[in-house]
Amino acid sequence: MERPPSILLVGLGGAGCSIVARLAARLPPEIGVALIDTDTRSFQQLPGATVVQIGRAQTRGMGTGGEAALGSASAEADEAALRRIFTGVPIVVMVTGLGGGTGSGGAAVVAGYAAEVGATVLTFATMPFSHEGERRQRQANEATGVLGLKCHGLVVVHNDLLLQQVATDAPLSESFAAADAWVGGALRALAGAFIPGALVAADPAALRSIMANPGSPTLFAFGVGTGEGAAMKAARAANECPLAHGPSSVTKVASLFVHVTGGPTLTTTAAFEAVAAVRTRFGGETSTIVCARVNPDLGDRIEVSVLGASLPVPKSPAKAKKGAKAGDPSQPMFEFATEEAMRRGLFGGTPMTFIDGQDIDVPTYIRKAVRLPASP
Amino acid sequence: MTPKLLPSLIAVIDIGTHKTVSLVGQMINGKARMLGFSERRTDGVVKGTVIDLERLHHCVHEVVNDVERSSGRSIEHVYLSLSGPAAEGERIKGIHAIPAHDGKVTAKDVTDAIASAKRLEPPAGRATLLYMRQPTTIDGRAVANPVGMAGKRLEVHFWRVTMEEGNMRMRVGMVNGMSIKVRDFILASHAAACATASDSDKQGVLVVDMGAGTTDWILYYKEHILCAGSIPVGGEHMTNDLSVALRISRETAEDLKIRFGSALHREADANQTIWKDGDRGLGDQQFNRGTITQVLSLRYQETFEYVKKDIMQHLEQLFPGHAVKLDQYFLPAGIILTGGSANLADAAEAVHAIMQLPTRIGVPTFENDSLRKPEYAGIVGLMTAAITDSPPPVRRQRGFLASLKDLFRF
Amino acid sequence: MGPADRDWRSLVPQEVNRMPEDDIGRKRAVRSRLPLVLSILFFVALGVVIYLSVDESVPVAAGRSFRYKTDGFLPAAFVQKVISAGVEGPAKNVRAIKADLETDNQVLAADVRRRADGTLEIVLRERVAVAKIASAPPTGLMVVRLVSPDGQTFAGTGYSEQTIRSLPEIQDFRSTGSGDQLAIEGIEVVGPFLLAARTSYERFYLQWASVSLRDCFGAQEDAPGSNLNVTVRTAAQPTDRPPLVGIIFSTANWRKELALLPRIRIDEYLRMPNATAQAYVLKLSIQNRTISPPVPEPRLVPAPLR
Repeated sequence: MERPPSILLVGLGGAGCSIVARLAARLPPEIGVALIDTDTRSFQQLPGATVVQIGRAQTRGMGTGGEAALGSASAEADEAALRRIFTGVPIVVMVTGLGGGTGSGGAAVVAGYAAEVGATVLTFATMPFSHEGERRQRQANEATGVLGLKCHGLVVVHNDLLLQQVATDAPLSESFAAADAWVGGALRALAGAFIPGALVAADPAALRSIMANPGSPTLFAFGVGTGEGAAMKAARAANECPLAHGPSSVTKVASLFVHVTGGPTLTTTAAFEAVAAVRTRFGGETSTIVCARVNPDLGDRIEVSVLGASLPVPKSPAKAKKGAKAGDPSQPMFEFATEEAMRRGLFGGTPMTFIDGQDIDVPTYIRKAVRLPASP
Repeated sequence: MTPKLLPSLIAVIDIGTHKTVSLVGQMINGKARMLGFSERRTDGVVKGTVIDLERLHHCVHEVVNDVERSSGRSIEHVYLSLSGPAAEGERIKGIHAIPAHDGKVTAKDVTDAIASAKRLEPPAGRATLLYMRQPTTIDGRAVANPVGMAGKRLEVHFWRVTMEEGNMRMRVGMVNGMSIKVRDFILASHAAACATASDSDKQGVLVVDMGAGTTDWILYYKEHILCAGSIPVGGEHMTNDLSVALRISRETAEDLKIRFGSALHREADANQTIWKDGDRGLGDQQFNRGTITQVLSLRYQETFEYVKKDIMQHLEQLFPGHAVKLDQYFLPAGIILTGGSANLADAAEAVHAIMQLPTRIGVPTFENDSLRKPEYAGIVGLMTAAITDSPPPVRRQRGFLASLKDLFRF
Repeated sequence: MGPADRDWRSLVPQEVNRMPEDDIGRKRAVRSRLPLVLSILFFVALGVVIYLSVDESVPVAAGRSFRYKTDGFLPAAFVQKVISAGVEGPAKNVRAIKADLETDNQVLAADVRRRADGTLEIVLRERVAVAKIASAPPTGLMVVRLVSPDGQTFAGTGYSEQTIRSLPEIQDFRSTGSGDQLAIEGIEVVGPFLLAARTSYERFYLQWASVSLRDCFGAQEDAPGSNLNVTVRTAAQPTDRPPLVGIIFSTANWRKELALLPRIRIDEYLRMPNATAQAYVLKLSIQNRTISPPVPEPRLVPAPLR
């Protein structure tokens, strides 16, 4: 086998594989791609790609049927094969959809193997839509807890929130496709940072340095701008990105990695202006790594993606105890409840209340997928 | 010369998600006069559930201290308000066969029937908190006073409210920890109704008390409670929705909700732009009013959909097989909306549209002006309900020796 | 266990007679008990007051023993006599005994208390005697009465013979009234004078045999020539010089003159060669019957022969 790639993009589970498969065509060869699933049909989306079929004995080449236990068992069954694809790879970016069986059950296991063989693992995990039902929600929630411990960086993407980014007139049935496309775009922007020949180069090792410790919460933001002042527009869009927002989510991080990519009109000055705008919003006092590159395909479109992490904090259980030292400034209340808090806001940290299979603490407009008019 | 009887002191406490209130009154000439009042923001309760008992205890204790100071009396017994889904209610009945030779119902028959009703065991792990009398029936016919009437089968009905034993112990224990005894529990929705609905209204009315953490509802039919329930959604959810949607802090969201919120969303709202601070100063933000009304109205209406569903479920249980319609024949007085969230603009209109019944905002009648607001319907009603349903016994003159003993209780 | 046990009241017997735990509870407990505490204190205070006043008016049984103290000379027998001689029956109480004791002019103040075991505790303060007078009651013999600086006369019960003899006698006085009501003209000058002499110049005072008020104009103390004529005892004086037999103080200036007295070297002067008279009188101021005020210029003059 040839030299392992410097970055490996891995899709886990049905949703993850389809996102990665769609992306693969537009990725440069330096970025490796692999698909992992119990269901062999996923692999048909990308013929010729590196694939690992897990859990042959457990699922017989079919899906897990939404059972997380089955998903983790399948991953454990093929430990050796998984370790092999990760060996020698510095950075692994795993994409998976939580809520189902393979994703919810297998993600933590797979991430664990990758970390053990020495890779820095960054995971993008999507959370099911509210209308997908209670069971998937619960499974997804549980999975994030364990997953966060195994990855160096975990970005949780809520499909509900993504919906707001999509065109108003798109029918609800397209929501899945829309969410995938959005994540794909974000990943592409991120992965593209490491293709050689950048305007301002970044070293994959630098990315590793930011996310040195597992369990550290990760900030991810993505914004796009076009036309006049595209760089600043993109920066502002990134600042307002719903993923980095929510009444009590983390907004200031110590280390930032900012990747600005655009068409031939992108200048270094514009890129740095955008970075400065992003820094005012997200911090990056300890270190900010900048990568800027030109991609002729983009025309006058500029994309800004931001990855951020702070110093790791001691992991505490998901339920936030009110009596905890809330006033300690060096230890911001980072918990995986934060992600939950973004959607459930004030109620993050309290037990979920379900009526008719919906978590009613989540705002009504989100659950009913009502698109709000944009802010002036 | 008859000895002068001491007028009884009545103290009530309502612990809500947003505020804890206490009222102390005295019975004078058959009417309750207010002696003291105190209010504080509740600490430690979210969505109507206790999440930090210590903070809550401290908060309630401060409220008690304040009301004792403002009324100049010390409280020994208190009535507690009961709200939220933790307090579940159901209809129970006690049956008594009237002895054939007599054919007429006696008072003892009624007592026996009541006793047999109260002997029914509550669901496992739950403690019985209160009974509310419902119409008595003889041979299936509802009668006002069964004594002396002829019939074969006497049934007495109660609306019984139970709660998980642990939860109940926690509440009573918290009050006991302040050296106060709980005299009785009173259903919050019933209290709100006592303050806002007249007896003629109670021929058929739905009273909905929408607070910060919960929405409690109660249905009256022929002056008796028919059924009651609670949804764990309240004003807090509306504020939260707004804060997530606009990406603003909770306090700002609460402020905008009060100033610009509405339970109805109109097309024209989208054209209105509002400023958060209003002074265009640094840090001020612009918002589209349409967004605000859209978010709030969605939540408000959804909540009432839940209320409606809950009511229908209860009615289905009570009258299986009959599809009861919530219309003006059933509820002539329509709907009375009260509680803090009733202050939301266009609330009555919105509810009218959903429930198809005339709706009005219920404001409690009270001697003190400052309490004539929907958010105080609960506490005002508690006092009224306490006097009517379970009045305190006449206070005996404490002997000097007894007071002395009390002194050395330290 | 039946369903009745599932009623919340039977599940939780509310025990609330506990000590309040947090400070809000303590504040409330104090506030609720405050009226009771205050009323108790009030009643206790009232009780004490009543007890004290009642104590005074409770009758004393005759023959009750007593403890007695005085700063003067009155014997215990005197007190006993007064107690026994007082009003009999229920009216004989602490207040009555005190009143009876104070009727005697010799007693300045009487403090009578009943102790817990029923005995009386009596403390007397007596009048100080600075002089004596010979008083002739309407019937009977001359009696000697003692004089206090404020002009009160009293019997001098309990005083020893010697003590009485050592007191100077006030002579040639004009008076009104008799017995306890005797009022000596000029006593308002002599009284303080003798008291000052006795207090601060006792050495001299003890030598005085008498004070004559012949030339004392009492209230008009600075009238020209108004003086106090003191006769000095000769017995203790040395025999090898003429004796000093009198000192004349002016009523206007006697304080300064008393202050001057110790500085005059009487003995020295009397031993001077030109002291040839039989006896001398010390005039402390020159006094002229027509001019006032007196001029302080002590002179020793020969005593007039009598």
